[in-house]
This record gives sequence, structure tokens and C-alpha cells, in this order.
Amino acid sequence: MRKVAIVGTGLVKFGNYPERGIRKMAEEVLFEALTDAGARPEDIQVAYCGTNGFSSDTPDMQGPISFSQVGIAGIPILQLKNGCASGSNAFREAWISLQSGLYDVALVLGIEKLSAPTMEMIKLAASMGGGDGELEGSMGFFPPGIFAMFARHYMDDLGVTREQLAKVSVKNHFHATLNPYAHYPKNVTVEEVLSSRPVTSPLNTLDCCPIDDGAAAAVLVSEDVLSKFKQRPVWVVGSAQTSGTYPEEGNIGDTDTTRRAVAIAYEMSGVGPTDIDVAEVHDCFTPAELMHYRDLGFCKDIQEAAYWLEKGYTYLGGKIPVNTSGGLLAKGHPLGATGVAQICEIVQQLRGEAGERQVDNARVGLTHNGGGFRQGDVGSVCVHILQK
Amino acid sequence: MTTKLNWDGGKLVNPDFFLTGEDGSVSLRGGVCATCNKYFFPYKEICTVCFQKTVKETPLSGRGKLVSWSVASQPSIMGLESPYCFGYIDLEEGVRIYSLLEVKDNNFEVLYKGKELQMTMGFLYQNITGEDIYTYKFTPVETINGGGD
Repeated sequence: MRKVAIVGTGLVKFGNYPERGIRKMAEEVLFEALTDAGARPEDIQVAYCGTNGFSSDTPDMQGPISFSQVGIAGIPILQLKNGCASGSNAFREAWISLQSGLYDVALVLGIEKLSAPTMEMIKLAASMGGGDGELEGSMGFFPPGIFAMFARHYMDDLGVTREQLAKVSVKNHFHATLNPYAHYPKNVTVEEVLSSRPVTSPLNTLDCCPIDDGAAAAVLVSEDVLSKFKQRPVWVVGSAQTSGTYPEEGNIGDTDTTRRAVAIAYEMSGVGPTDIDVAEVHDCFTPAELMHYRDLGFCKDIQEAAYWLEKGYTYLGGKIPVNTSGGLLAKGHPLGATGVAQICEIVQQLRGEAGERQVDNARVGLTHNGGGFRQGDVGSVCVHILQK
Repeated sequence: MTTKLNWDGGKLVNPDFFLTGEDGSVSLRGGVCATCNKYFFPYKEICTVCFQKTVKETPLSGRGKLVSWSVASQPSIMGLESPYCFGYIDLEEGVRIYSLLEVKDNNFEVLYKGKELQMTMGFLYQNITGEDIYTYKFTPVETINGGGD
């Protein structure tokens, strides 16, 4: 397997920017990533753009339009639309393109604008993005619904309390106060989560990620050409993607899609859950983060995951800090940008550049990003393990 | 014993989901593989277990047990008024199906994992040309058996 490193990243603060479109966000993060890498546009041999194109008149062209903002055109450019996992899948395809030996330098952009020109487009994105429009989506299903059912299983069958779910939001909002890139850098209390407006039982608005805009970029190079760039590599030692199997039995919240991806990534990298110093996981809704503690092998079951949260083990300074960026809940979730932003957070942590949210001696980090759903299972899960 | 459900012909969200009889009855249009006996909903031609093109159309019993559910507090983009309840049901035939759930007086507190439900038909939304659209829903069996309206 070729050794592949991330040598540059770029990120904008997530938020709602009606005056700032795709072009401006792309120009900013791509310039930052290339400059950070010591790269020039002509160094890039292949480019991937993870985006769902909800707000744009030209969703098919968001990649070419974005990359041409920094003078990159003519090379192979591909867009990936994989729901909330678009960014990490774009990153993985870039990694695979270098593994193939066909290329040595790849650029990845994750970008999304959900504060759209029309309310209909925002609602459509929020309500049907990533589901099965011919079946569930045609009869009232919407994204928080599946996670609401996870919460129901954890609470009704496994004894997790409503307050414990709320504490995921409390933790991630606290971390966001330390992150200049976060959309909602403001503490919330358990009471505020429980009294926020109901969305779908038992989840309220503060149990749910926001609808916002953002972009993130990364430059990947093979070891063969590393010396041409600024020497602060973060190595990609594990990469895996799985998709759901949609079982027709068992509890909703128990499918093994994440566990299968994680097993592949750990095997490839030679590290295990106890080696992870910091992790960015897909906390789209509060119950999801508990599931990820279990599925990433940090905890043996959901009950232990809730216990870890209670004890503060996943706070900055704890056993394994999770979502030091603020996660999807508080940093934000502009769909295509998220997977790449998770990579940026881990790179900053491993380089020692995470400022107030720095995890001491971080050497191994993990990103976990999921997207799409039907029949109680997720569409795609993508896991990466990075090492200094 | 399955109660026969009647349908007076209002527009369905997707006619492929339903089998309607000449006697005015309606049921879910499932499939059963003649080779390996696996059931499917919606109906499909090719069996995903044995990879044979031997799936036959069959009406499903419309009886099952609740797996999980949630009650939405906001109207959906499709025009469903809130609150509305949706969930997954494990049918007798071994098929897991998504459905809206109808409970008398919206008293969703009566729901629990494993509760026995029965298929019914109900209003979904009015489409952009003003037509009323209907679909299948699931409701507690006691509603059908005379315990409710």
C-alpha cells in the first residue's frame, strides 16, 4: 500500500451566509489548503468535490466551478453526492486515486450551502435528503426520524435517560466555544436541550444538527513527492467505507454498518480503539454519538457509552476526547463540507495547532462520517485513521 | 382473522403498493418467491435471496408488530399535518415495512414495541393539483376489531 499524507488543509467558519455563495467559500478554503501545503494549482493532478448541490442552480458543476476559483481546470474532476457522507467519501476517493499509482497529488473539497435562495429548497433538503423518496420519503419520513428511533430503543430498552442524550449536545456545544470555526460557540444546559422545540419524539431542536453553510479542503500527496511540499505531513493509515444492509429483524439502532467499516480501518492501520487520542464522529443527532462510542470500540455497549458521557470521559481532557470541534451539533453540518472538516480538525490536533481545544500529545486520530438512510440503516459510513 | 379492507378508489400515493379486488377490497401488494419463499414489499420481480426471477405477486396479511416509531411535531414538506406518527412494523410474513401510524385521538402513548397493528387506509396529503392522496397506514388491532371508532 502506498503511503499517503495530508499536507495542507483549509476551512471556513460554518454559519449562515446569504451573501456568500459557493464561489467565495471555495476560493477561500482552496487557497488556504494549497498555501498550507506549499502547493500551487498546477501541482494538482486530480480533484474531488463532495457536495449535494441542494442550493445551487448548477449542482452538477459545483466541482468545476469551485476548483476554477483558484485556477484549477482541465484535470480529472469528480463530484460525489453521498448525502451527509459526501465529504469523507470524496476524501477516500482521493486517497484511492493515489493508492492506484495513477496520481501523486490530489485535492479534496467538501462544500455545501443549505441557507438557500428558496425556503422550498431548504425544506426539501432538510426533509428528504438522503432517504428513499419512492417509499418512506413519499409518506412523511425525514432524517431525524431514524435517530429518534435509535433514541427510543436506547431509552425504552437499555435504560439510557433523556438527560444523558441531552449531555451529548451540552458537551459538543462546550467544545464549540473553544473552536473559532464553529457555527454555535455557545454553551447549552441539559434543561435548555430538554425544553427546546420538539422536532420528532423524543428529539428537540438542540438534539439536532443545524442547517448551515460551509466548506473545507485538503491536499493529499504520495510519499514519493512529499519533499516538494511543506513538511508537516499527517499520514492516512486507515480508510474504509461500507454501506448498509437494511436488515428486516433486530432493533433499529443495532445495525453493524459502522462496526464493519471500523474493523477494516483498524485492521489496515494496525491501531485499535485504545490507541485513538482524538476522534471526530457523526453526531448528527444526540443518540448517534452514543452509538458511535459503541461501534468505534470505545465502549462495549450503549449503557457504557452513556456512562462514559456522564463521567466526562469524552470531553477535552478525558480518556478519548470526541468532537473537540463541536461536532455536527455545534460546529455545524453543511453536508458535503462535514467529512472534510472532520479531517481538518484531526490534522490540526495532530499538528498541535488546535489552540484552546488542543488534545495533549495527540498522535493518532479517527474520523467517522455517515450518510443516507433507509429501512432503519444508514446508507454509507466512511472511517479514516490519521497518524502523525 | 384478517378484516377485509374496502377501498372506494381515491388516488393512491403509489398504485404499485396496492392490490385492489373487484369486490372493492384493498391489500398491500407484496411478493413471495416461489423458489425460496422469501416475502417482499414493495413487490419486486427478482428474489434477492436466491437470485431467481420467481417472485409472485401476493396480497400481504396487513398484520404485524410495531418495531419503533416517532411522532413528528412539525408539518412535513409533503403537506402532512402535525402531529403525525411514523414507524416500522414487522409483518407476519417476515417483511419490515415503513408506515404512518394512526391512533384514535392521536393518543400515541398507547404504542409500545411489539404492539399488534393492522393495516388500514388513510388520507396522506393534497398534492399540488389539489387532489387528495391516500396511502396505507397501520393502526392498533383493537381499533379494527371494534375497540375504537
